[in-house]
Amino acid sequence: MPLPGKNDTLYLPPVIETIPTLVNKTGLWRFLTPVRKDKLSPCRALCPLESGIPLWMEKVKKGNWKQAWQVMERFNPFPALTGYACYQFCRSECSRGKWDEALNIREIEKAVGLWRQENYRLDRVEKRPARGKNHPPRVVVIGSGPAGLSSAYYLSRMGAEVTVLEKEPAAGGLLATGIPGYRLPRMVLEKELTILQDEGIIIKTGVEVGKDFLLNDLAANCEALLLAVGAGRDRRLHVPGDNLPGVMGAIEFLKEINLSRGANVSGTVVVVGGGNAAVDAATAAALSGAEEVFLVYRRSKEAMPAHPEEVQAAGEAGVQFLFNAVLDEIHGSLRVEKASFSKVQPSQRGDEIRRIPGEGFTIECQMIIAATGQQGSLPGLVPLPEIAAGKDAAFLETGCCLLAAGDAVTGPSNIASAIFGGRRAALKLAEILWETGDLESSLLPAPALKKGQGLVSFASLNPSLYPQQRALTHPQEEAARCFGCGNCHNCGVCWAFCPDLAIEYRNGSYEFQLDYCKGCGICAAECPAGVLFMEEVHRPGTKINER
Amino acid sequence: MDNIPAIVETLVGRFPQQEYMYGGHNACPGCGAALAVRYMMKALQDKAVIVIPASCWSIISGVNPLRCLETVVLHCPFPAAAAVGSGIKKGLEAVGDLHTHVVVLAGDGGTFDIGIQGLSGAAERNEDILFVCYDNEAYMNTGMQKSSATPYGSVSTTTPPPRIKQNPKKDIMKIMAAHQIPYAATATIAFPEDLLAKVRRAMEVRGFRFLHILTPCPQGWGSPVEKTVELSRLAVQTCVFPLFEIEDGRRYRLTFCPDGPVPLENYFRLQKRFSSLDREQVELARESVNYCWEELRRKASVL
Repeated sequence: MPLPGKNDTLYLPPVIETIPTLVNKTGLWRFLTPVRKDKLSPCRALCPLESGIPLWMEKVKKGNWKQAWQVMERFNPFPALTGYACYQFCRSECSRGKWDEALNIREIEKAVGLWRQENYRLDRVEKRPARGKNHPPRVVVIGSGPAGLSSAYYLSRMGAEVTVLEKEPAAGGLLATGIPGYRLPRMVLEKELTILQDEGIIIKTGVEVGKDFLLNDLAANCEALLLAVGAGRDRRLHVPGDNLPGVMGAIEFLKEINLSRGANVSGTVVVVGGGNAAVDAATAAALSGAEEVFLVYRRSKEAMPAHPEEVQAAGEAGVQFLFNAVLDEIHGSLRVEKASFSKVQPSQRGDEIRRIPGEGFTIECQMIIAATGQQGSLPGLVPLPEIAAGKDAAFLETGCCLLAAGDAVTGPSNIASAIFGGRRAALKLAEILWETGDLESSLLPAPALKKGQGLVSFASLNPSLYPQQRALTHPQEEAARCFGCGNCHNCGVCWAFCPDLAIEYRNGSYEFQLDYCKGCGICAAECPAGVLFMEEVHRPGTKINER
Repeated sequence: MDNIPAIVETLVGRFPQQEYMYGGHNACPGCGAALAVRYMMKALQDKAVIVIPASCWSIISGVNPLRCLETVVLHCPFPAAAAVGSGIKKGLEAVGDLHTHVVVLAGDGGTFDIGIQGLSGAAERNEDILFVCYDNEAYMNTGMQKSSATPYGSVSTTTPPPRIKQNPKKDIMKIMAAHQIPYAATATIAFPEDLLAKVRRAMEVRGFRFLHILTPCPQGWGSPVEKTVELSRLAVQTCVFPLFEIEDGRRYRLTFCPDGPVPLENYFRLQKRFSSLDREQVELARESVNYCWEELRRKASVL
């Protein structure tokens, strides 16, 4: 259809050139400026390993298991082990718990660990010569518990030749002897040890320092000696009759059970103590043939240092708990026959124990397991706490560096703390053994957290973008429930809700275009991770508070 | 697209990265209307002519020669938006352009009050245009004068003492349903994926389409600037502004059903315009909200 126009030609109105509003620098209106500040998530603050939980969770969320492992590795080389046996300190304060249900972090960690075990490819790192030497540093780790293994792993990754010595016939320390098989399947531990050996770490079992080797001989042939001997010797009960046959330490008992030496468990068993070792021992006794198992603790159930998860498992195994009672005497002529106890007044941890006179009871029993604390198993050799990794390492006459890690330094703790101790010791040794800056940062274990980094609170998160959903079973789906508190994970919510188009996606991350930002703060209010904050920032040309 | 982060896919929907709007526009900080149009443009792209009657957006879109939308914008008189839109559509059809959408972008004044005769006429003629009303519940551009979209209980500068509006908000969706137009829907900025889907749906339909978008206005509502999106979310969760669509004026469909009832006070508390309400008045407002919500649920057959 022809349009009406002059001389039947198409009439076009004059075109007016317009220019985009980008010339309007509306950023000048701004009083508050969005600032990105990564903060500490509650899970990370509680984790004894200071694991970068939100960092690897982000990778799991995207289904990128390899990257998840690569991030995880720098914090925790054995996610499969902690995934089974850690007490999940992280879960108690999870921000998601205030929304619907706390994230099941441990299961996701386990999934990463098992992925790694399945998809392990040999990636042995080139050995690096030690400082001032032309051969790689030789490191001997005494003790193959979680602390010893984690430091061995990191040192080997950084380029040292590592030998691990273990006095028991099986490697793994408390992982093999202390933690019952129902909590940590032995297959998983064995696979982890195989990986370590494939990485080039030599693990020698059944050799004891002081018996098969002398410490000084070892020191003469290596650059560093790491003592990760643990706190594996039971304290005695110090009551009359504690040397009768049938009285055993909890660690010793667990070792017998777990190394299948066939501990003869029968009749009634009494466990004295309230820690994890006590509860583990009681559960193990109940599961391996004892008719009745009593756990006697001097305080209340709430004051028990054992993890609630363990206590529940013990109850399910049939352990009977007797609280507010202390052991007075063990009776018996040739073997333990019975034990007498006194009732005590209820008390909190740290309070003095007061017996109630005249109130007591006796239990006829065939076995008593003492779980009243542990002490280091290398006493008198070196003053261990003094060369804790936090302080300077000690040097022997031969120039060998001596360092301690794990429970030997901290006293009885848990697997996560021990792995962290090993990681810290490895980092410390790396500074001594190599020229600093010589190592690639991707090989180094993550440094400990700086104190004073603010904790992200639930108030600064925006959970409303996440539908309310209880915990899921599939690890990747479960990981998608993570808010990623305190760590920007490029979710793009700030970008999506910016009315001024002042946030751009560039080179894999979101950036502020402060020329156009009017400082409304919607991005900070909507950020699901709580990493954006509005701050008064002085700009050149603006005068704030000038009189 | 690989570079869309997972959460944007899952939470904000499959969000196009391409922007059809420029920064540096003249909206106030925390403007809901700017955000609504930003989402709308992502769906429309540059295949649209935008007709803007007098409203906030006449200012936001920039003074000549500035433009902030990457498409053709035509400013028109206040009451004539729907008529101008209809004319442009007819003109486009006349030159054989059947693909360009004509979108009228009017505020609540240009829809509920001044523009309603043009709107009603165009809807009755079933003109092939998309009428988008961004509703900030008063004449915000000129300073919080009352419109018929202002809800009960809100303070405005033109309501006589005690300055509280005594009448309920005009139910524009019922009016549009009564015109039996092919598609009418409500949307809001806290649910961008829903807004985008509705604009896309409207683009597929021929005939008169109506989109009612609630856009909180921090200046007029007296709310903190950073709470714009939260207010919009609360409006949906408290059922003050339910999200639904109507086909042919008959078939109702709820597109978002709030899980648990969020108390109305949560919504009112954030806004200074409701600050002078006493408990009885809040109760009245709640009754009215509940009644409308139940009625809507009946219509959508979810009751």
